[in-house]
Amino acid sequence: MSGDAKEIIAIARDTRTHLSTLELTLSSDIEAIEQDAFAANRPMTKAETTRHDQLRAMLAETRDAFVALGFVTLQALNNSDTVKRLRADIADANQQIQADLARLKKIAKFAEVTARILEGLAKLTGTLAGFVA
Amino acid sequence: MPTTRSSAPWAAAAQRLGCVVALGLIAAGCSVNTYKPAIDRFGTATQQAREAYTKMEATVLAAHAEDLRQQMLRGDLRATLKPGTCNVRSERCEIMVVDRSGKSQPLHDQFDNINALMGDIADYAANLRAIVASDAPQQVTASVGAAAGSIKALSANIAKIKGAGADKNAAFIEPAANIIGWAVGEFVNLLQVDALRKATARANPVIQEALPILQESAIAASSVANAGFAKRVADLREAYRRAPGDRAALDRFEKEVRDFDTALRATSPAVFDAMATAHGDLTDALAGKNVSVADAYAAIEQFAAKAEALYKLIAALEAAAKASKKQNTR
Repeated sequence: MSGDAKEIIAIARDTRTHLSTLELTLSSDIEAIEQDAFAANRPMTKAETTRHDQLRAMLAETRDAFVALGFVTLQALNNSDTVKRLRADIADANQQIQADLARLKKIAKFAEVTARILEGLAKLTGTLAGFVA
Repeated sequence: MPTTRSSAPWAAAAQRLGCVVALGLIAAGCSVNTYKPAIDRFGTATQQAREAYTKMEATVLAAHAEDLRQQMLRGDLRATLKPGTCNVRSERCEIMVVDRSGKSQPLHDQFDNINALMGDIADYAANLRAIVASDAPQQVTASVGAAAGSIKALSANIAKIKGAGADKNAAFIEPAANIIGWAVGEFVNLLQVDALRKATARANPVIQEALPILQESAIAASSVANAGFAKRVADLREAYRRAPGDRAALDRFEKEVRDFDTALRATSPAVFDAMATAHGDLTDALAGKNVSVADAYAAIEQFAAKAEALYKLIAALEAAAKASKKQNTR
Protein backbone atom coordinates (compact mmCIF):
# COMPACT_ATOMS: atom_id res chain seq x y z
CA MET A 1 0.00 0.00 0.00
CA SER A 2 1.25 3.47 -0.76
CA GLY A 3 0.56 7.14 -0.26
CA ASP A 4 -2.21 8.80 1.66
CA ALA A 5 -4.06 5.65 2.82
CA LYS A 6 -0.93 4.40 4.61
CA GLU A 7 -0.65 7.71 6.47
CA ILE A 8 -4.36 7.75 7.37
CA ILE A 9 -4.14 4.20 8.73
CA ALA A 10 -1.00 5.01 10.78
CA ILE A 11 -2.65 8.09 12.35
CA ALA A 12 -5.88 6.19 13.05
CA ARG A 13 -3.99 3.32 14.74
CA ASP A 14 -1.95 5.72 16.89
CA THR A 15 -5.02 7.64 17.98
CA ARG A 16 -6.90 4.42 18.73
CA THR A 17 -4.02 3.17 20.87
CA HIS A 18 -4.04 6.42 22.89
CA LEU A 19 -7.80 6.27 23.32
CA SER A 20 -7.63 2.61 24.41
CA THR A 21 -4.98 3.44 27.03
CA LEU A 22 -7.09 6.31 28.34
CA GLU A 23 -10.20 4.12 28.39
CA LEU A 24 -8.40 1.43 30.41
CA THR A 25 -7.03 3.96 32.91
CA LEU A 26 -10.44 5.59 33.42
CA SER A 27 -12.17 2.21 33.83
CA SER A 28 -9.55 1.11 36.40
CA ASP A 29 -9.96 4.35 38.37
CA ILE A 30 -13.75 3.97 38.42
CA GLU A 31 -13.43 0.37 39.55
CA ALA A 32 -10.96 1.36 42.31
CA ILE A 33 -13.36 3.93 43.78
CA GLU A 34 -16.28 1.47 43.74
CA GLN A 35 -14.21 -1.35 45.28
CA ASP A 36 -12.81 0.88 48.05
CA ALA A 37 -16.32 1.78 49.19
CA PHE A 38 -17.56 -1.82 48.85
CA ALA A 39 -14.56 -3.24 50.74
CA ALA A 40 -15.23 -0.83 53.60
CA ASN A 41 -18.92 -1.78 53.41
CA ARG A 42 -19.98 1.86 53.09
CA PRO A 43 -21.51 4.14 50.45
CA MET A 44 -19.14 6.31 48.42
CA THR A 45 -18.18 9.56 50.08
CA LYS A 46 -19.20 12.87 48.50
CA ALA A 47 -15.68 13.38 47.16
CA GLU A 48 -15.61 9.86 45.75
CA THR A 49 -19.02 10.35 44.12
CA THR A 50 -17.90 13.59 42.46
CA ARG A 51 -14.69 11.97 41.22
CA HIS A 52 -16.66 8.88 40.10
CA ASP A 53 -19.08 11.05 38.11
CA GLN A 54 -16.22 12.98 36.53
CA LEU A 55 -14.45 9.80 35.53
CA ARG A 56 -17.64 8.31 34.10
CA ALA A 57 -18.24 11.46 32.04
CA MET A 58 -14.66 11.32 30.75
CA LEU A 59 -15.08 7.65 29.90
CA ALA A 60 -18.26 8.41 27.96
CA GLU A 61 -16.42 11.17 26.08
CA THR A 62 -13.58 8.78 25.29
CA ARG A 63 -16.08 6.37 23.78
CA ASP A 64 -17.62 9.20 21.77
CA ALA A 65 -14.10 9.91 20.54
CA PHE A 66 -13.90 6.31 19.23
CA VAL A 67 -17.10 6.95 17.25
CA ALA A 68 -15.73 10.21 15.87
CA LEU A 69 -12.40 8.57 15.02
CA GLY A 70 -14.18 5.72 13.22
CA PHE A 71 -16.17 8.15 11.10
CA VAL A 72 -13.24 10.44 10.30
CA THR A 73 -11.00 7.47 9.39
CA LEU A 74 -13.57 5.99 7.05
CA GLN A 75 -14.24 9.40 5.52
CA ALA A 76 -10.52 10.02 4.96
CA LEU A 77 -9.96 6.55 3.48
CA ASN A 78 -13.04 6.96 1.30
CA ASN A 79 -11.63 10.19 -0.15
CA SER A 80 -8.04 8.90 -0.45
CA ASP A 81 -6.30 8.66 -3.82
CA THR A 82 -5.25 5.10 -2.95
CA VAL A 83 -8.84 3.87 -2.77
CA LYS A 84 -9.67 5.63 -6.04
CA ARG A 85 -6.65 4.04 -7.73
CA LEU A 86 -7.47 0.57 -6.36
CA ARG A 87 -10.99 0.94 -7.73
CA ALA A 88 -9.57 1.75 -11.17
CA ASP A 89 -7.18 -1.25 -10.95
CA ILE A 90 -9.88 -3.75 -10.01
CA ALA A 91 -12.11 -2.28 -12.74
CA ASP A 92 -9.31 -3.07 -15.23
CA ALA A 93 -9.17 -6.67 -13.98
CA ASN A 94 -12.95 -6.91 -14.35
CA GLN A 95 -12.78 -5.56 -17.91
CA GLN A 96 -10.16 -8.17 -18.80
CA ILE A 97 -12.38 -10.97 -17.48
CA GLN A 98 -15.35 -9.60 -19.41
CA ALA A 99 -13.23 -9.62 -22.60
CA ASP A 100 -12.19 -13.23 -21.95
CA LEU A 101 -15.80 -14.24 -21.33
CA ALA A 102 -16.81 -12.56 -24.60
CA ARG A 103 -14.04 -14.49 -26.39
CA LEU A 104 -15.30 -17.81 -24.98
CA LYS A 105 -18.83 -16.99 -26.11
CA LYS A 106 -17.51 -16.02 -29.57
CA ILE A 107 -15.72 -19.38 -29.98
CA ALA A 108 -18.86 -21.28 -28.98
CA LYS A 109 -20.93 -19.16 -31.36
CA PHE A 110 -18.45 -19.71 -34.22
CA ALA A 111 -18.60 -23.49 -33.75
CA GLU A 112 -22.40 -23.36 -33.68
CA VAL A 113 -22.57 -21.24 -36.87
CA THR A 114 -20.15 -23.60 -38.65
CA ALA A 115 -22.27 -26.59 -37.66
CA ARG A 116 -25.41 -24.84 -38.99
CA ILE A 117 -23.75 -23.98 -42.31
CA LEU A 118 -22.66 -27.60 -42.74
CA GLU A 119 -26.15 -28.77 -41.87
CA GLY A 120 -27.57 -26.42 -44.53
CA LEU A 121 -25.04 -27.66 -47.09
CA ALA A 122 -25.88 -31.30 -46.29
CA LYS A 123 -29.59 -30.58 -46.81
CA LEU A 124 -28.89 -28.77 -50.08
CA THR A 125 -26.70 -31.57 -51.45
CA GLY A 126 -29.35 -34.07 -50.31
CA THR A 127 -31.92 -32.25 -52.44
CA LEU A 128 -29.48 -32.14 -55.40
CA ALA A 129 -28.71 -35.85 -55.00
CA GLY A 130 -32.47 -36.48 -55.11
CA PHE A 131 -32.69 -34.70 -58.48
CA VAL A 132 -29.73 -36.68 -59.87
CA ALA A 133 -31.22 -39.96 -58.76
CA MET B 1 -8.11 -49.14 -52.29
CA PRO B 2 -7.35 -45.41 -52.30
CA THR B 3 -10.29 -44.37 -50.14
CA THR B 4 -9.38 -46.72 -47.30
CA ARG B 5 -5.78 -45.59 -47.46
CA SER B 6 -6.78 -41.93 -47.35
CA SER B 7 -9.28 -42.32 -44.52
CA ALA B 8 -7.09 -44.30 -42.14
CA PRO B 9 -4.30 -41.66 -41.79
CA TRP B 10 -6.94 -38.94 -41.30
CA ALA B 11 -8.63 -40.82 -38.46
CA ALA B 12 -5.28 -41.76 -36.97
CA ALA B 13 -4.12 -38.14 -37.10
CA ALA B 14 -7.29 -37.06 -35.33
CA GLN B 15 -6.77 -39.72 -32.71
CA ARG B 16 -3.16 -38.63 -32.26
CA LEU B 17 -4.29 -35.00 -31.88
CA GLY B 18 -6.78 -36.08 -29.21
CA CYS B 19 -4.11 -38.04 -27.37
CA VAL B 20 -1.64 -35.16 -27.50
CA VAL B 21 -4.23 -32.73 -26.13
CA ALA B 22 -5.29 -35.24 -23.46
CA LEU B 23 -1.70 -35.84 -22.37
CA GLY B 24 -1.06 -32.10 -22.36
CA LEU B 25 -4.08 -31.52 -20.14
CA ILE B 26 -3.13 -34.30 -17.76
CA ALA B 27 0.41 -32.92 -17.55
CA ALA B 28 -0.85 -29.39 -16.94
CA GLY B 29 -3.48 -30.68 -14.47
CA CYS B 30 -5.67 -27.76 -15.39
CA SER B 31 -9.27 -28.67 -15.93
CA VAL B 32 -11.48 -25.70 -15.15
CA ASN B 33 -13.67 -28.06 -13.10
CA THR B 34 -10.75 -28.52 -10.69
CA TYR B 35 -11.07 -24.87 -9.68
CA LYS B 36 -14.85 -24.58 -9.86
CA PRO B 37 -15.69 -25.43 -6.20
CA ALA B 38 -12.94 -23.11 -4.91
CA ILE B 39 -13.98 -20.22 -7.13
CA ASP B 40 -17.69 -20.70 -6.37
CA ARG B 41 -16.96 -20.66 -2.64
CA PHE B 42 -14.70 -17.62 -2.98
CA GLY B 43 -17.51 -15.83 -4.84
CA THR B 44 -20.19 -16.49 -2.20
CA ALA B 45 -17.82 -15.67 0.68
CA THR B 46 -16.76 -12.39 -0.93
CA GLN B 47 -20.38 -11.43 -1.42
CA GLN B 48 -21.11 -12.19 2.25
CA ALA B 49 -18.06 -10.21 3.40
CA ARG B 50 -19.27 -7.32 1.27
CA GLU B 51 -22.77 -7.40 2.75
CA ALA B 52 -21.34 -7.61 6.28
CA TYR B 53 -19.07 -4.67 5.55
CA THR B 54 -21.97 -2.60 4.18
CA LYS B 55 -23.93 -3.25 7.37
CA MET B 56 -20.93 -2.28 9.54
CA GLU B 57 -20.47 0.89 7.53
CA ALA B 58 -24.16 1.71 7.99
CA THR B 59 -23.58 1.49 11.76
CA VAL B 60 -20.84 4.14 11.54
CA LEU B 61 -23.00 6.43 9.43
CA ALA B 62 -26.01 6.00 11.74
CA ALA B 63 -23.86 6.72 14.82
CA HIS B 64 -22.45 9.83 13.17
CA ALA B 65 -25.92 11.06 12.16
CA GLU B 66 -27.17 10.48 15.71
CA ASP B 67 -24.21 12.44 17.11
CA LEU B 68 -25.07 15.34 14.78
CA ARG B 69 -28.74 15.17 15.88
CA GLN B 70 -27.69 15.37 19.53
CA GLN B 71 -25.55 18.42 18.75
CA MET B 72 -28.52 20.01 16.95
CA LEU B 73 -30.79 19.33 19.92
CA ARG B 74 -28.22 20.96 22.23
CA GLY B 75 -28.18 23.98 19.94
CA ASP B 76 -24.55 23.58 18.88
CA LEU B 77 -25.51 22.86 15.28
CA ARG B 78 -28.42 23.91 13.07
CA ALA B 79 -30.30 21.82 10.53
CA THR B 80 -30.98 23.38 7.15
CA LEU B 81 -31.52 22.26 3.56
CA LYS B 82 -28.78 21.59 1.07
CA PRO B 83 -28.68 24.54 -1.36
CA GLY B 84 -30.67 23.86 -4.52
CA THR B 85 -32.52 20.87 -3.07
CA CYS B 86 -36.10 20.47 -1.82
CA ASN B 87 -37.55 22.89 -4.38
CA VAL B 88 -40.42 22.07 -6.74
CA ARG B 89 -38.07 21.32 -9.66
CA SER B 90 -35.25 19.86 -7.57
CA GLU B 91 -33.94 16.36 -8.15
CA ARG B 92 -33.13 15.73 -4.49
CA CYS B 93 -34.18 16.89 -1.02
CA GLU B 94 -31.39 16.72 1.58
CA ILE B 95 -30.70 17.97 5.11
CA MET B 96 -27.43 19.75 5.85
CA VAL B 97 -26.00 20.52 9.27
CA VAL B 98 -24.33 23.90 9.80
CA ASP B 99 -22.15 25.13 12.67
CA ARG B 100 -21.86 28.78 13.83
CA SER B 101 -18.94 29.46 11.50
CA GLY B 102 -21.08 28.39 8.55
CA LYS B 103 -19.23 25.12 7.95
CA SER B 104 -21.72 22.56 6.69
CA GLN B 105 -21.90 18.81 6.29
CA PRO B 106 -24.60 16.37 5.20
CA LEU B 107 -26.62 14.73 7.95
CA HIS B 108 -26.71 11.50 5.98
CA ASP B 109 -23.19 10.94 4.66
CA GLN B 110 -21.97 8.07 2.48
CA PHE B 111 -18.64 6.40 1.87
CA ASP B 112 -19.16 5.70 -1.80
CA ASN B 113 -15.58 4.85 -2.78
CA ILE B 114 -14.82 2.22 -0.10
CA ASN B 115 -18.23 0.68 -0.61
CA ALA B 116 -17.70 0.66 -4.37
CA LEU B 117 -14.22 -0.88 -3.94
CA MET B 118 -15.77 -3.69 -1.91
CA GLY B 119 -18.49 -3.98 -4.57
CA ASP B 120 -15.90 -4.10 -7.37
CA ILE B 121 -14.05 -6.93 -5.58
CA ALA B 122 -17.36 -8.81 -5.18
CA ASP B 123 -18.06 -8.23 -8.90
CA TYR B 124 -14.60 -9.55 -9.72
CA ALA B 125 -15.31 -12.72 -7.72
CA ALA B 126 -18.64 -13.06 -9.58
CA ASN B 127 -16.81 -12.65 -12.90
CA LEU B 128 -14.42 -15.47 -11.97
CA ARG B 129 -17.49 -17.62 -11.29
CA ALA B 130 -18.88 -16.68 -14.72
CA ILE B 131 -15.70 -17.96 -16.37
CA VAL B 132 -15.82 -21.34 -14.62
CA ALA B 133 -19.58 -21.55 -15.21
CA SER B 134 -19.19 -20.88 -18.95
CA ASP B 135 -20.41 -23.89 -20.96
CA ALA B 136 -18.41 -22.88 -24.05
CA PRO B 137 -16.40 -26.18 -24.13
CA GLN B 138 -19.61 -28.25 -24.04
CA GLN B 139 -21.20 -26.00 -26.68
CA VAL B 140 -18.18 -26.35 -28.96
CA THR B 141 -18.07 -30.14 -28.48
CA ALA B 142 -21.80 -30.38 -29.28
CA SER B 143 -21.44 -28.16 -32.35
CA VAL B 144 -18.50 -30.22 -33.71
CA GLY B 145 -20.56 -33.39 -33.11
CA ALA B 146 -23.47 -31.89 -35.06
CA ALA B 147 -21.07 -30.80 -37.81
CA ALA B 148 -19.80 -34.37 -38.09
CA GLY B 149 -23.30 -35.63 -38.86
CA SER B 150 -23.68 -32.97 -41.53
CA ILE B 151 -20.26 -33.74 -43.06
CA LYS B 152 -21.19 -37.43 -43.22
CA ALA B 153 -24.47 -36.62 -45.01
CA LEU B 154 -22.68 -34.13 -47.24
CA SER B 155 -20.05 -36.70 -48.21
CA ALA B 156 -22.68 -39.33 -49.01
CA ASN B 157 -24.72 -36.85 -51.07
CA ILE B 158 -21.70 -35.71 -53.08
CA ALA B 159 -20.84 -39.35 -53.79
CA LYS B 160 -24.43 -39.87 -55.04
CA ILE B 161 -24.26 -36.77 -57.24
CA LYS B 162 -20.93 -37.98 -58.70
CA GLY B 163 -22.52 -41.36 -59.23
CA ALA B 164 -19.85 -43.07 -57.11
CA GLY B 165 -20.47 -45.63 -54.37
CA ALA B 166 -20.61 -44.91 -50.71
CA ASP B 167 -17.68 -42.88 -49.45
CA LYS B 168 -15.62 -45.09 -47.16
CA ASN B 169 -14.31 -41.94 -45.39
CA ALA B 170 -17.81 -41.47 -44.01
CA ALA B 171 -17.32 -44.34 -41.59
CA PHE B 172 -14.43 -42.46 -39.97
CA ILE B 173 -15.99 -39.02 -39.92
CA GLU B 174 -18.05 -39.45 -36.76
CA PRO B 175 -15.40 -41.05 -34.50
CA ALA B 176 -12.78 -38.59 -35.72
CA ALA B 177 -15.14 -35.67 -35.19
CA ASN B 178 -15.87 -36.91 -31.70
CA ILE B 179 -12.17 -36.83 -30.91
CA ILE B 180 -11.75 -33.41 -32.54
CA GLY B 181 -14.85 -32.12 -30.74
CA TRP B 182 -13.47 -33.33 -27.44
CA ALA B 183 -10.03 -31.87 -28.20
CA VAL B 184 -11.47 -28.50 -29.24
CA GLY B 185 -13.68 -28.53 -26.12
CA GLU B 186 -10.62 -29.17 -24.00
CA PHE B 187 -8.78 -26.37 -25.82
CA VAL B 188 -11.58 -23.99 -24.85
CA ASN B 189 -11.30 -25.39 -21.33
CA LEU B 190 -7.62 -24.40 -21.41
CA LEU B 191 -8.65 -20.91 -22.49
CA GLN B 192 -10.97 -20.77 -19.44
CA VAL B 193 -8.14 -21.77 -17.09
CA ASP B 194 -5.85 -19.26 -18.80
CA ALA B 195 -8.47 -16.54 -18.32
CA LEU B 196 -8.68 -17.42 -14.60
CA ARG B 197 -4.92 -17.40 -14.29
CA LYS B 198 -4.57 -13.99 -15.96
CA ALA B 199 -7.45 -12.49 -13.98
CA THR B 200 -6.23 -13.68 -10.57
CA ALA B 201 -2.63 -12.65 -11.33
CA ARG B 202 -3.83 -9.18 -12.26
CA ALA B 203 -6.26 -8.75 -9.35
CA ASN B 204 -4.06 -10.25 -6.63
CA PRO B 205 -1.77 -7.23 -6.08
CA VAL B 206 -4.87 -5.02 -5.92
CA ILE B 207 -6.58 -7.26 -3.36
CA GLN B 208 -3.39 -7.50 -1.28
CA GLU B 209 -3.03 -3.70 -1.36
CA ALA B 210 -6.70 -3.19 -0.49
CA LEU B 211 -6.34 -5.50 2.54
CA PRO B 212 -5.06 -2.92 5.10
CA ILE B 213 -7.66 -0.42 3.93
CA LEU B 214 -10.52 -2.90 4.29
CA GLN B 215 -9.10 -4.09 7.62
CA GLU B 216 -8.84 -0.53 8.93
CA SER B 217 -12.36 0.25 7.70
CA ALA B 218 -13.65 -2.84 9.48
CA ILE B 219 -11.78 -1.92 12.69
CA ALA B 220 -13.13 1.64 12.52
CA ALA B 221 -16.65 0.34 11.95
CA SER B 222 -16.46 -2.25 14.72
CA SER B 223 -15.01 0.39 17.11
CA VAL B 224 -18.09 2.51 16.52
CA ALA B 225 -20.41 -0.41 17.21
CA ASN B 226 -18.36 -1.41 20.26
CA ALA B 227 -18.37 2.15 21.64
CA GLY B 228 -22.18 2.04 21.65
CA PHE B 229 -22.13 -1.27 23.55
CA ALA B 230 -19.50 0.00 26.00
CA LYS B 231 -21.60 3.07 26.80
CA ARG B 232 -24.73 1.01 27.36
CA VAL B 233 -22.82 -1.47 29.56
CA ALA B 234 -21.39 1.44 31.61
CA ASP B 235 -24.87 2.99 32.05
CA LEU B 236 -26.46 -0.32 33.12
CA ARG B 237 -23.54 -1.06 35.43
CA GLU B 238 -24.09 2.33 37.09
CA ALA B 239 -27.86 1.71 37.35
CA TYR B 240 -27.14 -1.61 39.10
CA ARG B 241 -24.51 0.03 41.38
CA ARG B 242 -27.07 2.56 42.51
CA ALA B 243 -29.66 -0.17 43.17
CA PRO B 244 -27.70 -3.31 44.06
CA GLY B 245 -30.83 -5.03 45.39
CA ASP B 246 -32.75 -4.53 42.12
CA ARG B 247 -32.91 -7.90 40.31
CA ALA B 248 -34.15 -6.34 37.04
CA ALA B 249 -31.21 -3.89 37.02
CA LEU B 250 -28.78 -6.78 37.50
CA ASP B 251 -30.45 -8.78 34.71
CA ARG B 252 -30.31 -5.84 32.29
CA PHE B 253 -26.62 -5.28 33.09
CA GLU B 254 -25.84 -8.98 32.65
CA LYS B 255 -27.70 -9.18 29.33
CA GLU B 256 -25.93 -6.16 27.87
CA VAL B 257 -22.56 -7.60 28.91
CA ARG B 258 -23.43 -10.87 27.12
CA ASP B 259 -24.48 -8.99 23.97
CA PHE B 260 -21.29 -6.95 23.98
CA ASP B 261 -19.24 -10.10 24.45
CA THR B 262 -20.90 -11.66 21.40
CA ALA B 263 -20.11 -8.54 19.36
CA LEU B 264 -16.49 -8.51 20.53
CA ARG B 265 -16.01 -12.09 19.46
CA ALA B 266 -16.77 -11.09 15.88
CA THR B 267 -13.62 -11.25 13.81
CA SER B 268 -14.36 -8.53 11.30
CA PRO B 269 -10.81 -7.46 10.40
CA ALA B 270 -9.76 -11.14 10.21
CA VAL B 271 -12.37 -11.67 7.49
CA PHE B 272 -10.50 -9.42 5.09
CA ASP B 273 -7.17 -10.91 6.13
CA ALA B 274 -8.61 -14.35 5.32
CA MET B 275 -9.96 -13.04 2.01
CA ALA B 276 -6.52 -11.76 0.95
CA THR B 277 -4.85 -15.06 2.00
CA ALA B 278 -7.46 -17.12 0.16
CA HIS B 279 -7.08 -15.06 -3.00
CA GLY B 280 -3.28 -15.23 -2.82
CA ASP B 281 -3.44 -19.03 -2.53
CA LEU B 282 -5.93 -19.29 -5.39
CA THR B 283 -3.65 -17.15 -7.60
CA ASP B 284 -0.62 -19.31 -6.73
CA ALA B 285 -2.52 -22.56 -7.29
CA LEU B 286 -3.61 -21.38 -10.75
CA ALA B 287 -0.05 -20.29 -11.52
CA GLY B 288 1.29 -23.66 -10.29
CA LYS B 289 3.39 -21.98 -7.57
CA ASN B 290 3.78 -24.46 -4.69
CA VAL B 291 0.14 -24.14 -3.59
CA SER B 292 -2.16 -27.06 -4.35
CA VAL B 293 -5.79 -26.54 -5.28
CA ALA B 294 -6.68 -28.36 -2.04
CA ASP B 295 -4.64 -25.85 -0.01
CA ALA B 296 -6.25 -22.94 -1.84
CA TYR B 297 -9.68 -24.46 -1.19
CA ALA B 298 -8.87 -24.85 2.52
CA ALA B 299 -7.88 -21.16 2.75
CA ILE B 300 -11.07 -20.21 0.92
CA GLU B 301 -13.10 -22.36 3.33
CA GLN B 302 -11.54 -20.52 6.28
CA PHE B 303 -12.37 -17.18 4.69
CA ALA B 304 -15.91 -18.36 3.91
CA ALA B 305 -16.44 -19.54 7.50
CA LYS B 306 -15.28 -16.16 8.86
CA ALA B 307 -17.37 -14.21 6.37
CA GLU B 308 -20.43 -16.33 7.17
CA ALA B 309 -19.92 -15.96 10.94
CA LEU B 310 -19.47 -12.20 10.65
CA TYR B 311 -22.51 -11.86 8.41
CA LYS B 312 -24.68 -13.91 10.79
CA LEU B 313 -23.46 -11.99 13.82
CA ILE B 314 -24.09 -8.59 12.24
CA ALA B 315 -27.54 -9.70 11.09
CA ALA B 316 -28.29 -10.96 14.64
CA LEU B 317 -27.06 -7.72 16.21
CA GLU B 318 -29.12 -5.74 13.73
CA ALA B 319 -32.22 -7.79 14.61
CA ALA B 320 -31.52 -7.38 18.33
CA ALA B 321 -31.12 -3.61 17.92
CA LYS B 322 -34.43 -3.43 16.02
CA ALA B 323 -36.21 -5.48 18.69
CA SER B 324 -34.75 -3.33 21.46
CA LYS B 325 -35.79 -0.13 19.63
CA LYS B 326 -39.33 -1.51 19.20
CA GLN B 327 -39.48 -2.36 22.91
CA ASN B 328 -38.29 1.13 23.87
CA THR B 329 -40.91 2.86 21.73
CA ARG B 330 -43.77 0.88 23.35
